[in-house]
Amino acid sequence: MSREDRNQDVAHEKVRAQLDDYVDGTLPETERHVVENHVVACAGCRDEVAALRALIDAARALPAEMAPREDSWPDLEKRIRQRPVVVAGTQTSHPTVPVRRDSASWMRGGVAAAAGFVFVVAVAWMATRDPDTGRSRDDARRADVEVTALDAAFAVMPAVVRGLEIECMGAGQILQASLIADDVQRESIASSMRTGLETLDLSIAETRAALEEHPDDSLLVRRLTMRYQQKLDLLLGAIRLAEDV
Amino acid sequence: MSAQPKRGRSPDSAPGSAPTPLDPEVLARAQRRELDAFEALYRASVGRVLALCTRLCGDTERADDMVQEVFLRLWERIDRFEGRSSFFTWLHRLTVNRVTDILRAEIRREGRELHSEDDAVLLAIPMPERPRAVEPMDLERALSRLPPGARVVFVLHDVEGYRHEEIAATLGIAVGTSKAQLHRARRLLRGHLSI
Repeated sequence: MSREDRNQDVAHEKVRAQLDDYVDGTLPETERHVVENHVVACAGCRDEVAALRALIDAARALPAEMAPREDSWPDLEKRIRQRPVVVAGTQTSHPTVPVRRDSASWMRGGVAAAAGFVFVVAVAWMATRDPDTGRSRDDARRADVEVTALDAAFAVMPAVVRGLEIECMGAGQILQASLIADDVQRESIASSMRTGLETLDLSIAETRAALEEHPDDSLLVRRLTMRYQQKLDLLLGAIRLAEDV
Repeated sequence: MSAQPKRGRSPDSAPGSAPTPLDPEVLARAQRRELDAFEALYRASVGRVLALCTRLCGDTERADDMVQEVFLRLWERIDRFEGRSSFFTWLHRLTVNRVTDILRAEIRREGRELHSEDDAVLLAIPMPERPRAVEPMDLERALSRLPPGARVVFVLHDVEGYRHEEIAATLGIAVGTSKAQLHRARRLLRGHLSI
């Protein structure tokens, strides 16, 4: 092999290594000209470029959707309903399920409005009852803690806290199922309850985030326990009001 | 990383499917965690999420599991959607993040073993002189045969239109590794597809 042939081979291999960038259009101008000049003269590299472009065109033409093999919504719905997670931030992950009017006949218009008023008062009282963690709402939102990390932090908390959270979830589901979305007065109650729960959930999320940083802080654990107790009291009180009708 | 695909197709205008209009009221209700609205959202978007999951993980059964994981994550975070992009663009990003979270360990491990003997054998396969057209089903099958890292980079770059910088940030790898994986994926795919 002559020196000229060897130089051509080296140039060819160098260009071949750049063909991906060439077809992607990411080569700097000067290098692009070198590759273009080589491709014009080299049948092997021309085929390479054509094959790469055929592959990329096929990739971009793939359909954006695939039909599911089976309806997996029932499984997903079940998992959502079982999901015992309070998401960091201001809302719970409990589903709100529309319930038909006749399935909650114990809750009627006028009394529902009265219950709504009690809710608002109770919520306002609970929201101001204890000193907060000192962290702002924005800080809490920024914390944006991963659920898995929260669960890890939760593992070190007393069982009583965990038990309270589960009780809250159960009570919340019972109550939410009683509030009918298409009834204006009950929607008002639901809205008031959401406000209260959001306030408490925010405080819970803040405290849990603080606990992540200071897992041995017994004051934070006590505060978290108190918040869950308040939440449970709120939910159970609402249920009792409804049942008294 | 909040960057969206810079080229290639958009999640709202992908080939093979007309964008499905999303009722803002349904979205708002889903954000309030109303289950019937969330189901409507699921049914409007599950095909897109399934396609992306299937291609990223290369296994239809595993993709089904990932779809569930994606929608569970969506359920947890849907209140964070602020409407700065379209919902489908946002969901697309959430899907990529969730799937790559799950696959990241495999991808990084594979990145350290890029120059395997298998690749050396494959690189020696002569390519036909005249490339033929690539059938979508053939490409889907060939994708499922790729190693995870190469497959994820190819799907994000060539199918979804991400740049290497975005892929590197998403997967926690170097830009050079992303380029090497793309080169490897294309080479392997051409071998599988005989083009």
